Amino acid sequence: MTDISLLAWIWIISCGLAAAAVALMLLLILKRVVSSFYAARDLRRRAVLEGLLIDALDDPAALDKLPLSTHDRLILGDIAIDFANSIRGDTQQMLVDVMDRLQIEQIYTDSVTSADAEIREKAVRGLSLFDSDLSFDALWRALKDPSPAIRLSAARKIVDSERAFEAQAFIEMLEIGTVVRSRELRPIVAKLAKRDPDGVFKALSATSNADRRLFLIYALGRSGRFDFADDLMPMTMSDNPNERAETIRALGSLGNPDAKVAVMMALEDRAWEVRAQAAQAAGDIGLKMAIPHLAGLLSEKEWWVRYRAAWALWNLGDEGRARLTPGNLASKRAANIAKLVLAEATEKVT
Amino acid sequence: MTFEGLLSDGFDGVLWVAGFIIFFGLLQNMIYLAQLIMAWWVLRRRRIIPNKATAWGQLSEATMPISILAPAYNEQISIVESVRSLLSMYYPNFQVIVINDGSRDDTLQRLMTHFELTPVEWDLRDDVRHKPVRGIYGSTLYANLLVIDKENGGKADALNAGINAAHTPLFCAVDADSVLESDALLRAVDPFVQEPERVVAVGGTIRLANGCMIKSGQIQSIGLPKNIWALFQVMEYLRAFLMGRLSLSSIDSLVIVSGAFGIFRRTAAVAVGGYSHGTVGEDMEIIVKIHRYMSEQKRDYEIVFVPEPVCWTEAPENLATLARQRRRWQRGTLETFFKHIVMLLNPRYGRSGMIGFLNVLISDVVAPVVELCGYILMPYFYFSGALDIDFLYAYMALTFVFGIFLSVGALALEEMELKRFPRALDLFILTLAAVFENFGYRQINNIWRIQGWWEFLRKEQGWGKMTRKGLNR
Repeated sequence: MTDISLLAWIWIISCGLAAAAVALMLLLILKRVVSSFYAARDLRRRAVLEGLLIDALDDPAALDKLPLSTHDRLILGDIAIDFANSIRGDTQQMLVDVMDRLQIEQIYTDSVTSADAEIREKAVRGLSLFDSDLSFDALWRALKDPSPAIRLSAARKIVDSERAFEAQAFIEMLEIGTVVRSRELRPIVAKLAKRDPDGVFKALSATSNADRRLFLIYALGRSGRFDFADDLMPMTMSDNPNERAETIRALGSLGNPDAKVAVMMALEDRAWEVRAQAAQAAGDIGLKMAIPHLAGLLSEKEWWVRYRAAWALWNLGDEGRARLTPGNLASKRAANIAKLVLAEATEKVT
Repeated sequence: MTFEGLLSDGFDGVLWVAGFIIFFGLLQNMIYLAQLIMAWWVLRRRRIIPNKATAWGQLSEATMPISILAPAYNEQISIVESVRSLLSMYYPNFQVIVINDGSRDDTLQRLMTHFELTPVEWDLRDDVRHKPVRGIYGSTLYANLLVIDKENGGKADALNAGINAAHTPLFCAVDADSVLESDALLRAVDPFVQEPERVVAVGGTIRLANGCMIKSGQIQSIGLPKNIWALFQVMEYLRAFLMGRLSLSSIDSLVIVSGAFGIFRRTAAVAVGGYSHGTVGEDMEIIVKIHRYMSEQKRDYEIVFVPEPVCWTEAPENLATLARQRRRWQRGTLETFFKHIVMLLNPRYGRSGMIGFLNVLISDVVAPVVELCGYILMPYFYFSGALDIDFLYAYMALTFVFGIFLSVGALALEEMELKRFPRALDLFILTLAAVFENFGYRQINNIWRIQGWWEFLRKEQGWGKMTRKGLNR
């Protein structure tokens, strides 16, 4: 290749790429025209199938007489998922019977391993309607999906189902704290801890993964098991400030008065996140002995500590509320936060 | 003279200048090509949340409370509709904080009347610096609306007042005259939900509302502008956001989140002292400051761009206003770049310094100057007989033809992955715009950028007047 041809190559390649891009775009426009046509057709077909589905709720056998293509079945599956969100009880069961008849469960079970994430996601949503081993196994497999979002969808369905399973196996399968670290896990693990608190505690004892520990401590706080307070107490001494804060939050949620020593100590923790959680926990468990400490925290540098302390004082009744009287407060910070919380609290009360 | 002479004929000024212009154009286009490929890769792998209801079902329980900060200066025409639009956001726990930045018109009075504002007790923190506050008002109609009236100090100053007033872990900075899609917050907060410990800021896509139907502060239908300048800007925004920001975000090198729509972790913004005064590029500057602070503190962090949450804004439709905007953008970029030049190619600042800042140097600092030199010198060298025609062809290929490839490529990406333009005809018109913007519009734009450079060197200040038609139509 000569030097001149190097410059010529720039011209040739640029022209080639520009022409290819324009050609691709024209193809995409053509595809859009075609897909708009089919979308309009599907919409019309969907309107017809919606009617058929509603009729079939009363008479599922009527569907057997209709010549339904696989495409029709998929449209019916979509309609059923949309319907399922707005119906409950017997009607939902009737809908599931119709879907059974259409073998939609099998379509979804197969789709869980599709290469297309959108199809897998839809399959997971659809499978939650079926209370069968087949669906449960498919959802369980989806806990290992390459997409964390699909894992979470499957996890949500599993904890909402009535099937028995081991919490520890669920946590391992979902790879909580390693692959999945989303805050979306919080309501999921909270439900899990309500179902199987001992399993969650066992998983907590077995892991050193910092993120997983935080989720499981949070979950135990929402388990409603008062007696876990004793087991959680040592974690307030953790080196990880996030773990200390989460543990104090869990103790506050459990409301066990035995946690008072840990909460009192946490009010003086070096990490502000822990002090803020401790202030809230003091209010949650009615720790009147913390009132002088909480009043002191109203002048803290960190706003969240001041705010939580002020709310805790309000929640501790007359004795605590007396400490919020702006005239009695020495610093401007304390007076400002007291004014804010009094305004918010009065608004809530009225 | 041929390209061969560059290495063999000894030093020849003309050849070296032409060679540098060609090399620089090639380098710039290779960067854009890489961005296009990366953007495609990221879009293929993104999390798809099909609709608003699904977004709510999946994310609502995990979201964090947000304060939406809307600075307003002389916005009496649109302020009520804008605030109504913000109040109707589809998000579980949010507060709208409007900061009236010493407006000289009836902005505050309109807010007072329409939302029945009354003075409230509010703990305004003193975390970041701003001009004195004259009053804080709450609405008797909407519990989650707060209005701060302060002395005029500019957009950055107003946002700082909003940061001090925000009692939530996240805040969202928006332009009061933009329109957010109702689920934009819910979708934009997703990175904070997925990586709660790492993500410190998120930017969303800005699209142009010119040509769209907007009623009561909500987009009713998407369309294209009839004005040719606005049409070219539609393509520009598409390329900048879908290709540039998305790809840079995927390699942790994003150094700007648009001022019209960005969500920040409050603690991160406070740690860097909030928005800086005395710059017209405060949106870029705060992101660069966060990069700088986080790197110096050796923190593990992420600044993310998400392509789907959309904020609609109005583009200028006349050349004078557009020119002012572009000169200001260029000035803002240069101010931030030179203020934080220590980050350039400095490994201490990780990829933001090594890639993000290098990209700013090539695309925003040097490119306008080199491109202008090319427009003047390359034809001159050719017609004076100093260079072969192949040089001219190569230069035209890099400035005009490759530009077509990139613009049409970005549009193809939009159609393959997002499909936000509803009609095939819109796509056809945009394809034409993507081709023709390279002949004329790109060159005019480059002149404005050079003017921005000049204003920067003369240390000019101020935003200049923006003339807008208003979004409700």
